[in-house]
Order: sequence, then structure tokens, then C-alpha cells
Amino acid sequence: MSTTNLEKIKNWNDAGSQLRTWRDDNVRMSKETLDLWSTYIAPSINRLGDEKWLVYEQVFLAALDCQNLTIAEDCLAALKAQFSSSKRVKKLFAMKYEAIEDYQKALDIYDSILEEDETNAHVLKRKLACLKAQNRINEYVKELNEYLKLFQADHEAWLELCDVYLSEMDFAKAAFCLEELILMYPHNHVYQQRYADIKYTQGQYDLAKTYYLYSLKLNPKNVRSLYGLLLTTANLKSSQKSKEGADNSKLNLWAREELDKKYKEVDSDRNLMNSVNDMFQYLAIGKAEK
Amino acid sequence: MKEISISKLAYSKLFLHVAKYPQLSCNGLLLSKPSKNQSVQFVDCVPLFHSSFTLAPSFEIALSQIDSYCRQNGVEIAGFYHAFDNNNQTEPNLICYKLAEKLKENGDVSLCFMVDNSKINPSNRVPCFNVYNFGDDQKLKQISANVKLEDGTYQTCERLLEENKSSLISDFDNHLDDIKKDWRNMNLNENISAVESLSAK
Repeated sequence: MSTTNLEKIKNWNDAGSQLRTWRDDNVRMSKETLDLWSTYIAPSINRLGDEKWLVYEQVFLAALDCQNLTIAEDCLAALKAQFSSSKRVKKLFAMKYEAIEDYQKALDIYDSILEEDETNAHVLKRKLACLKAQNRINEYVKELNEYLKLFQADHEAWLELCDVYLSEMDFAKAAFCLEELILMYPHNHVYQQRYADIKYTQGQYDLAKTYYLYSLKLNPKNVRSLYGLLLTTANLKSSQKSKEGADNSKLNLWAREELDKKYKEVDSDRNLMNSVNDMFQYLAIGKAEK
Repeated sequence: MKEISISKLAYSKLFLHVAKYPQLSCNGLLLSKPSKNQSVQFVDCVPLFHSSFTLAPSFEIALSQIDSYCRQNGVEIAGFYHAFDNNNQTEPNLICYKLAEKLKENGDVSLCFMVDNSKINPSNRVPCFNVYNFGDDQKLKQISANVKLEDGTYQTCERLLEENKSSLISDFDNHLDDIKKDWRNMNLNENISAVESLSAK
């Protein structure tokens, strides 16, 4: 996020609004959050009323992210004083241990919270995060699968599992995760396109092409899908019966023209266009016009 | 021992890319002038991705365009860098190996710069990576290399960090999400020169 947004902030009220926006959008703007805290919020924290507890929590998390343990401790102390028996604050204590890589202490706290509340999703996810941070990938995958049996609708977790499988190059399992997501959100063009990406990587060009087309039907501006269509039709050209071959040529040309239009719309310079056009030539089926 | 030199522009771009996404893994390519002897001179850097490194489509598109860009500008892809999201991870993984293998197939030199998170801060005054070489034996091995950075590189990186310039860099992922974002980062040349002239005062 550019610093120009922050130039509009002149006082604690503006800063409070900005922090509220970041909370609502769930974005990770840790350094900026700490800057706003130090400059505007900390001296005027009590003017925020009850919102200050949310701000303390938000700044605490940002401080952990930036390894500023002083600010983290201050926020945690304030929260602890106000909410001494809160499980939510207890979780924050554990997160502080995570930040200093004392995973055992963190896990002890998480387990104690789970004893009273065994389906606390936030805490279950923190335990998963501990495994990931320690690079214990096999256990991480196993536990994440167990978590998803309980919380099948957690799309963030499905995406995370997909990413882990991709980094392990287990494309079949990664594809399965996206299939679950597509079932839940059939109109999401990104999931269709990502699924197509995986199918392409597995060499299943026909299926990849189908899903790129679904994605483009939902959002004709998805550049990755346009490129994907270009690639799949180019790869399919050699193994084609005549009617399919003709369809592929048409799709290939259409994808190329759409991409060309987009590059021209943003006024891409000559040099960039040369690189793009070279690629088009390479991926063209039939006559290359340029 | 391999003689490697990296221009301020190349190193700054690598640094900014890694600084922009501290919570994610990132990788990118390093472009060099054609090398006549054992020394490699890196002059530019193209940041590639900060997600989904194993997916073929975006990778093929990137390589195709960058390859063409290299031919137009008389440079070649001689290396890549990879930074892990995990703080303690420094050894190349399968993804790095495959990329190194691919570069070797297409050129003579395939150097792999594995970013070491403990060395990233430019105040350390050391290059932020360990160097690996993909040799003819198809193995990716760490090598001790004499890495020379252009004068003033660390100071420039410090300045860029202070002034929050990491948001200016665009990688190929950014380009695919919004093609206005230029993966060649032509705008950064000016910014880096501006920082240079300030540091000189």
C-alpha cells in the first residue's frame, strides 16, 4: 500500500478510521499500523472509547509481526488488565510466545484453551501455524486435513492446503482442494482459473482449456486465464482432429487479440510489446499476422 | 572460485522484492552480460513470483517474455534468487532445483542465490544470500564465490527501505494481476538514481 494514503492522516481520529478500515478488510499492514500507533494513536488512545480494545489487539498483532516486543507487551498488559479471564487475550499471550519461537509454551496455552472449548477454530489454526513455522510440513498437512474435516466450509483453510500441496508438487491433491472450493463458490473466476493452472501443470490441456473458458465466461478480463487459453490451445494443436483443431485456432486467436487489446489499453511501450509479440508468435496456431 | 559481480540496480531490485513480501516466499531471475570467462556480471533482475511457484502457465509466460526481452537487450538469464517465507529455511528445495536445471538447459551458467533471512538487512554490509551452482553433474551445490557489489549498494538499499520504496517494485505476479504493472521496473532506474544522488550529498 502506498504511503500517499497515510499522508491524508492528520490526527488521531483519521488514524483511528484508517485502522478500522484495515480491521474490517483484514489486511496485513503491520508497519503502517505501528507508525500510526506511535504518531497518533498511543498518546490519544483513551479518546477512542471502547474501540481502543480492538485497537490494542490490532496493534499487538502488528507489533509481533514487526518484532517490536515493547509495543506488544504494552498492548498486552492493557488488554490483560481489562479482560483478565478472557480466552481471546490468553490466545494473544500464546501468540507472543510464537513470535519469540517458544512454541512449547504457546502450545501449552492453546491446549489449555481447547480443553474448555475444543472447537475453537482460531486456536486450532494457531496450533497449525506453529507447525508451519517450525517447517513440520508432514504433520502440518495431516493436522490441516483433520481441521478441514471439522470446518469444511473454511475456504481460507482449503486455499492454504492447496498451496502446501502445490509447494510439495502434489498436484492431484492440490486440484482436489480447488474442486472443493469450486463446489462452494462456483461463480468465482479465480478458483476456476487456478484449477485450470493446476490441470495445465499436470499436462491435462483439454481440461485446463475448459476451466480457463469457464473462468473467462465469469470474468473476460482475467489475464491469467487469457494467457492460459493461449497456452492450452497452442499445446493442443498437434493432437487435433480437424474440427477441434479449427476451434482451437479460433480460441487461440481470440485470446491473443484480447491480450493485445489489453496491452494497448494500458499504453504499453514498444519494448514490452516486442516481448509479448514474440511470445504470441511462438504460441500461435496457423498464420501469424505480425 | 567463481567471480560474481552484481550491479546496484540488480541487487536493489532483488532487495526491494524481498522487502515487499516479508511474509511470503519470493523468487526472481538475474540477468547477466554474456560471460566470456569464469566471471559472471549481473546487470539486472526480474522479480517473478510471490505465490504458486510450481504452476507452469505463469512460469512459461514469464520465461517466454523475459527470454525475448533478454535477446533484445543483449543479456542472458544466468541465475535466480529464492527467498523463503520461513525465517530459518535457506537450503534450496525441489522448486529451486527444477529452476536451476531449467536455466542450465538453456544456458551455460546456472547460479542460484538462496536468500538468507538473517543477512537481509543492508546494515550487515554482506550480500543477503548464499550462492549455489548447478553444475554439469546435475547437482546444485553451495559454492564459495567472490561476490562483488557495486559501490554504494548497501547505502542505496538502506535509503530505499527508509523511504518505503518497496511498494514501487512489480513482479510478474503483479503484472499478471494488473498489466499496467511493469515487470521490467523501468521506473525504478530513476528512483535508484535519485537515492544515489541524495546519498552523495
